[in-house]
Amino acid sequence: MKTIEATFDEKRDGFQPIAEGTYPAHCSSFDVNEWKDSKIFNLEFTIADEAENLTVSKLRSDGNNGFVQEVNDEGKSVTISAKYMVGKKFKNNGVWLTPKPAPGESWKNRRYKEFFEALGVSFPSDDGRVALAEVEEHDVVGLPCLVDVKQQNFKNKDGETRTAMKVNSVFPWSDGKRLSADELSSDVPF
Amino acid sequence: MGKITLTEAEGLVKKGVLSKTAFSKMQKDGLVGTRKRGEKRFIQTAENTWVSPQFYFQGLDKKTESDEMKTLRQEVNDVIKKHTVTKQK
Repeated sequence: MKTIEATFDEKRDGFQPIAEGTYPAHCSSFDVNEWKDSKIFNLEFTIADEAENLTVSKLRSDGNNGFVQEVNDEGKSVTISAKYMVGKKFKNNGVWLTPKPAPGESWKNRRYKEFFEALGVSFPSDDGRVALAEVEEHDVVGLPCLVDVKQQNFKNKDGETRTAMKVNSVFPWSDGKRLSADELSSDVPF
Repeated sequence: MGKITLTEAEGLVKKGVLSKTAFSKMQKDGLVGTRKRGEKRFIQTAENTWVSPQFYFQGLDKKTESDEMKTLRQEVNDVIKKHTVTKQK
């Protein structure tokens, strides 16, 4: 065997799983599906450059398909830069809109209103009565927000439990700047 | 919609992601938690999987905890600590 200079230390160089947490992000993709009389809004968020200043928990495998917090020799939690999170994309749980709710079922649109208002969409309001409107792609793509990324379990078509990291909640990021479509695209322009 | 934990929100301010003005507005709008979380505790099920006990006041919404409630929380936390670990042990 020939000796080379490269080394590998699981503690230092091992796979770094996504850490749950709240990150600055931009809405980078928008899709709408229909189900009976409702519409489901599926958005994707890209973690913003500003996340590189954050620190997150360093995780390690627990040997049982899960991850636990890494601790140092003194038993204190180890944190690392969140730079590796920049540019990562996460989808939200679909947001449902019922355009014509039956009498007494307007509550079905509460999450739709709260979700898009947190993202920075303004619905016209008159004396506390909010007139909802159907959000379109150009209304939201590029908008800045804070996203709460959490692990979620689901069952695949074979009934096996799988996990995915998804945007659980969205919060206003009033200090963030809206990005244009060009700024959001990472495609090389040739 | 949920809330950002106080620790996370303070971290975002400290790292320059959130301004103090934006942080204050989020607090005012009830989007930031009011207490700092202790270390997450775990206990094993009969099948040897790990679960985490939770204690909260259902219906609290945006009301403030009374001294009696704070005392209760402290006593419950003491009991939880007695029966759980931090999963690192």
